[in-house]
Amino acid sequence: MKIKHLAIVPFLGFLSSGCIDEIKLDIDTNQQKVVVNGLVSDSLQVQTVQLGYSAVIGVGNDNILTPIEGASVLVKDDAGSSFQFLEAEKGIYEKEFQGESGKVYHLEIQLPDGKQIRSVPALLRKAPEISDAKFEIVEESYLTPNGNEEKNKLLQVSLNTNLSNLSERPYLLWRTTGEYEFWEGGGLTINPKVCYVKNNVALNVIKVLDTHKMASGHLIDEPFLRTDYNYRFSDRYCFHLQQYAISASEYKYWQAVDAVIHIDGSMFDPPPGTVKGNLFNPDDSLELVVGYFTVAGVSYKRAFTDASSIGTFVSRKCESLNGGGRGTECAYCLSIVNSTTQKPSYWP
Amino acid sequence: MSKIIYTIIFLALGNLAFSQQEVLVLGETNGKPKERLILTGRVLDAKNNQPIPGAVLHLDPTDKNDVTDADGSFKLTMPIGIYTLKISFLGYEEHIVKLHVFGDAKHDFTLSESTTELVQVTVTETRTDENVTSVLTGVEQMSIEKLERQAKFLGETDVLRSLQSVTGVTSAGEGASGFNVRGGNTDENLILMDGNLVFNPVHALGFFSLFHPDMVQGITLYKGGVPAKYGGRLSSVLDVKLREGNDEKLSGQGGVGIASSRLVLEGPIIKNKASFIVGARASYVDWILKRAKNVDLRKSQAFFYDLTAKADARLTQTTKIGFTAFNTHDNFQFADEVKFEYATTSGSAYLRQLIGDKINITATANIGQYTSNLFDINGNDMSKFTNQIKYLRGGVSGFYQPANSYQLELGVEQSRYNVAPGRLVPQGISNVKADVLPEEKGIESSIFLHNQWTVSKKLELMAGIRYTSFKNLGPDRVLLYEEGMPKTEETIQDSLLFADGEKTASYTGLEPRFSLRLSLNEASSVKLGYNRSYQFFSQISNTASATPIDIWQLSNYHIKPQHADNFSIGYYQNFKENTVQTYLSIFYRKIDQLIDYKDFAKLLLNHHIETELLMGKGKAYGAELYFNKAYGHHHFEMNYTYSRTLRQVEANDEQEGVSKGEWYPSNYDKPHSLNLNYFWQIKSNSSFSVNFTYSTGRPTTAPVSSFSSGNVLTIPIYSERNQFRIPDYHRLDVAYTVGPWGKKERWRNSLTLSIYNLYFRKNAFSVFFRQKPFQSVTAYRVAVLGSIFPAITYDFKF
Repeated sequence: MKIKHLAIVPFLGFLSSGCIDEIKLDIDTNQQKVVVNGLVSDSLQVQTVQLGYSAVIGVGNDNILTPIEGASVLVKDDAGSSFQFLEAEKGIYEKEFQGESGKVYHLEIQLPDGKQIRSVPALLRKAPEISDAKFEIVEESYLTPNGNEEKNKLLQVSLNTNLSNLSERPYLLWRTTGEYEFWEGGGLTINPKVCYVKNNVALNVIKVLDTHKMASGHLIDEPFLRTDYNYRFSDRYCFHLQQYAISASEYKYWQAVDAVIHIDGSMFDPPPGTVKGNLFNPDDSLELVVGYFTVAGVSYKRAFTDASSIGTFVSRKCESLNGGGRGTECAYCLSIVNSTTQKPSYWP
Repeated sequence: MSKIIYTIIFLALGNLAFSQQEVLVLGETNGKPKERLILTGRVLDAKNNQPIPGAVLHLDPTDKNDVTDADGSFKLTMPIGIYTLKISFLGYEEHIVKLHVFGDAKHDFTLSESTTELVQVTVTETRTDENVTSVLTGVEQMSIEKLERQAKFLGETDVLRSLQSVTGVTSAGEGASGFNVRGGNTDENLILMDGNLVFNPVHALGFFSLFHPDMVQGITLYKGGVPAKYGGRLSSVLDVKLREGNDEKLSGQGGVGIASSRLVLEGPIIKNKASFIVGARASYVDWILKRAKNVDLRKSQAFFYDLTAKADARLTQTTKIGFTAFNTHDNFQFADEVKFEYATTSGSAYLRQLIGDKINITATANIGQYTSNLFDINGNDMSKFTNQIKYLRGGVSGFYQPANSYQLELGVEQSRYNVAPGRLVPQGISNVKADVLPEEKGIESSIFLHNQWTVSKKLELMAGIRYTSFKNLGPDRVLLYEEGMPKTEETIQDSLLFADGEKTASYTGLEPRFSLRLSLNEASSVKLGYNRSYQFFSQISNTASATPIDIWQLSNYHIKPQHADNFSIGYYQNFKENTVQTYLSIFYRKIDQLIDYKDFAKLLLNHHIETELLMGKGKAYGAELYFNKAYGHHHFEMNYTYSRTLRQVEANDEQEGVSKGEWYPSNYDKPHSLNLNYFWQIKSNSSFSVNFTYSTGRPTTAPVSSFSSGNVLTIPIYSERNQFRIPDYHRLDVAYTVGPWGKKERWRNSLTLSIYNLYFRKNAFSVFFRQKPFQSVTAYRVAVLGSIFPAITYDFKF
C-alpha cells in the first residue's frame, strides 16, 4: 500500500496558495560517518566493497566518498570459507568469486585506525529469472511557471517475472543501467561515427517489491522506471536489467531510502531520519555505520528497444530541428562521458 | 423537605407607575443569620429556558459582579440585606430585581430578548472571578460568543482554531489534524461531544473542525486539573457541549460562506417539554474544483459534510432524557493518484433523575465508529485500505451535594473497543493481495470518586480518585521475541494463541486527582493541582502531524499503557472588580511507557507492529501567563506560554534507540507561544476583532552529511532526531462583523468580513531538504497557506 504525497492538493488547489520556497537554515553539514557499500552475489564476478567517509555537503563532489585506504576486508560464509578482498583502487576492495545460494555471508572490516565494522549475517537467496521487459510511452502532465499545463513523454519500463515455481516468495530489488547508440551528424560533420554511451538511466530510482503481497504468482508488467523519452531512444537502447533476491531487512532498508530521498514536506511524509543498514561497530554499538552490505542472488536480462519498436518517433539529437545538433558531441561523440566507438559484442 | 426553605414572594408592584420592579425574598427567614450568604442559580432565556452564558449580574449597593458560565450558572455572596440585582446581556432586556436575602438560596432568572439597541456589552464567558475562585487549575471555558471572536479561516467560526488561542494549546500548523496541549500528542486529548468520543476532530485535513459552530453551546478544556470523571488520555480533556433545541417555537440559523454553508433548525417536539435541534454543514469545494483549469484538479475531489441532531425531553419535573447523534464524512481525491475518505458516526443517550434537591443520578450510553479508507486508484496496485474503530460506552454517576460547601460525585463507566486496524482489498484489475489484520478488542472499566469541599472562605479542595482496569481480549496470536533482544522479525521465537474473548493482557491504573485553591483575598488565589492519567488506546502515527488514516492501537501484550503525572501550580490575580484577569501557571508532566517510533516505521498493515515501536519516557514543563480585560466595549486578551516537551528512548544499540538515548525534543516542542486578541464592540450591531499569534517553529531533523550508493543514489545522513527547527509561525487576522439586523422576531442577519493571514506570511507546515551538486543542502519550506485569505460570510437567524 503506498501513500502518495499529494493528498492535500485538492484543497490547496481550491485555495490556490500552497507554496514551496527556499529558506535558510543554519546546519552543520560536516558530520562524517563511515560508509560501506558492498555486494556479494551468486554471479561469478568481481565482488566489490566500497569503504569511505560520508561527504561533507557542499565541498567538492558530494557524491564522492572520502575513500578509506588500507583496510582489511574479509567476507566469510557459514561453511567456514573466507574471502579476502584486496584494494583495487582507493577505497574500492575487490575479490572475484561466486557466492552460493543457501549460504550465509557476513562482512568483517578492520579500518586502518583499528576500528572494527561487521555486517549482520545474511542468507544468499536465488533470484528468479526476468521473463520479459515491456516498453511503452506514458504522458505526465506538469504545470509551467505561468500556470499552463504541459505534457511530457516518458518511456515506462515494466518487467515480468514468473514466481509460481518458487518454494518461497522473494523480496526483489531491481536495478538497471543503460547503453545507447549516439550518431554524430548535423551541420557539416564529415564521416559521422556511432558511439555507444553508458547511461545511468535509473538515477534516483529504487524499486523493491514484496512479492508476498502479490495476489498472483506472476509479476505482469510491473512498472520499474520512467525516463524521459528523447534522442537516446532514436536508435537502439539497451537496458541491462538486474533482479536481486534480497532479505526482508534489506527490503525495509531500501524502502526507507526511497522514503528519505523523496521526502517533500507533505503531511504524509515520515519524519526524516538516517536510514540504518546492516552494519555496526562491534566495539561501539551506538556508532552509526551507514550503507548496506547486500547478500543476494541475481538474475540478468538484456533488453533492447528503439523508437520504431516503441512506435513513437523521436529524432536523433544531431538531427533534431530545435538546435540540438550543434553540440560538440555531434561532431565528436567521444566527448560524451562513458562513451566508446567500439560496438559491444552483444549489440545486434 | 429541606432546612433551607425557599420563600419566594413576587410582589406585584406593577400597578405603581414609578416602578415595575420584581421583589424576591430569598433564603430561610427564620434561620440563624449567617455572615456570608450564597445565592446561586442560572440565567435563562425567557423564551426557551436555554441557559445564557456570559450574562452579567451586578449587586447594588455592593460592588459585587458575576458572569454566568457556559451552563448559565452564577454565584454571588453577600451578607443578609436588601439589594438590587441587575442582570444584563447583549440583545436582552436588562432584568432588575429587588432581593431581600435572609439565607443561602438558589434561584433562576430569565431574560427577554431586547427590542432596542443595548449599550451594555458582555464579552466574558465565565464568571469574572471564576479564575480566582474555582478550585481547578488549567481549565479553560469558551462560550460560542468567544469562539466567534477568534480567528476565522474562510469566515468560519471554528472550535479547534479558537482553542489555539488558549495558553498551552498549539497545533502543527494549517492542515494539521487536532491540537497539542502543553506539547502533548494530538491523541493525548480526550475529545468528547455530548459524551461521544471523537477520534478525529477535523474536516478537510484540519482546515475545519467537525463541530458545527451553531450547535455548540460551549467548550471546556481541562489541561491541568482534570476531574476524576474523565480518563483515558494523558494531556487534556476537551468537553464540547451541544445546546438544546428551542422548546417554545420553531427557529433556525445558518450561514453561507465561500467554502461551506451550514444550517440549524430547532423547535419543540412537545411545547415546553421536549425539543429537537438538527444541524447540517457541507462544503462545495468539489463544485469549484470541477471548474478548475488544471486537469488534475478537475479530476480531484474535496468534500465534507456533517449532520448533528439532538433531542431532549423533560419527562417530569425531576426526570430528563436526551439523545444526540452525529455523522460526518470527508472525501478527498487527487487526480487519478490517490483518494481517501473518513467518517465518524456516533450516538448517545442520557437519563437524568433528580432525587430531592441534593442528589442527581445520570446514566449515559454511547455508541460510535470511526472509519477511514485509503485508495490506490491507479496502476497495478489498485486497492482499498480500511481501518475502523467501533466503541460502546456506558456509565452511571451520582452527584450529591449535602451542603453548598461540599459536593461528591461517584460513578462507574465501561467502554468496549473493537478495532479493525487494517483491511486491504484489491480493486479492479490489481496485483495486490488481500490482507486483513486481526480485529483487536479491549474493555476499559473505571470507577471514580470526586469530592469538592469548600473548607473555608479561603480554602477549597478537590480530591478524586479513578481506578481503571483494561483488558485486551482475543482471539489473537501474540508473537514472542528473544528475551533481551530488540523486537524484530528476526528475533521472533514463538507465539501464544488466545481464544475469542480470552484475556491476552490486562492492566490496571490508579489515578489520583487533587486540586487546592487558597484564596489570598477576594481577588487573588494560589492553586495547586496534581493528576495521574493512563492511556490504553493510542494513535499510532509517524508523520509530521497526525493524519486521518492513522491507526489506533489498544494496549496489548507488548504495548503497555502510557501514563502521565501532571503537576501544576498557579497564581491567579484579578483587578478592577474582576474585569481584568491574570494568572501565571507553571506545569510539569512526566510520562512513562511513551510510544515512539523507529525511523521510517511501517505502520500500515503491519502484522507485528510492536517491531516498529519504541517505548520511552517523556517530560514536559513550562509556564503560562495570561492577561484578559474582559469588560466594556474593548476587550483585550493576551497569553504567553513557555513550554518544552522532551522524550527519551534508551538505547542498547544504534538500531534501537533514538538520539543515542539522550533526551530530544518531541515533534510538538514549541518553546514560545504568544496570542493576542483585541475585540471592539463598536455598536450593538457591529464589531471588529484582531488576532495575532506567534509560536516557535517545530523541531525537525536535517541532513548533516551524505553518501552515494552505486553512483545512482545520493543518500542523506540526518542529524539526531529533531535537532533543528522550522521557521517560527506567526500570523495576523482581522474580522469585521455587521449585524445582527432585521426584525427581532423574524429574520436577523449578519455579515462578517474576515481576513486570515493579513500580511501574507508563508508559515512553514514542514521543511524538506534537497541537495544540488557541489552546493550545500538547501532547505525548502512547505507553506500550506502562503497567502492572504479574505472571506465573507453571511449568517442568519430566524
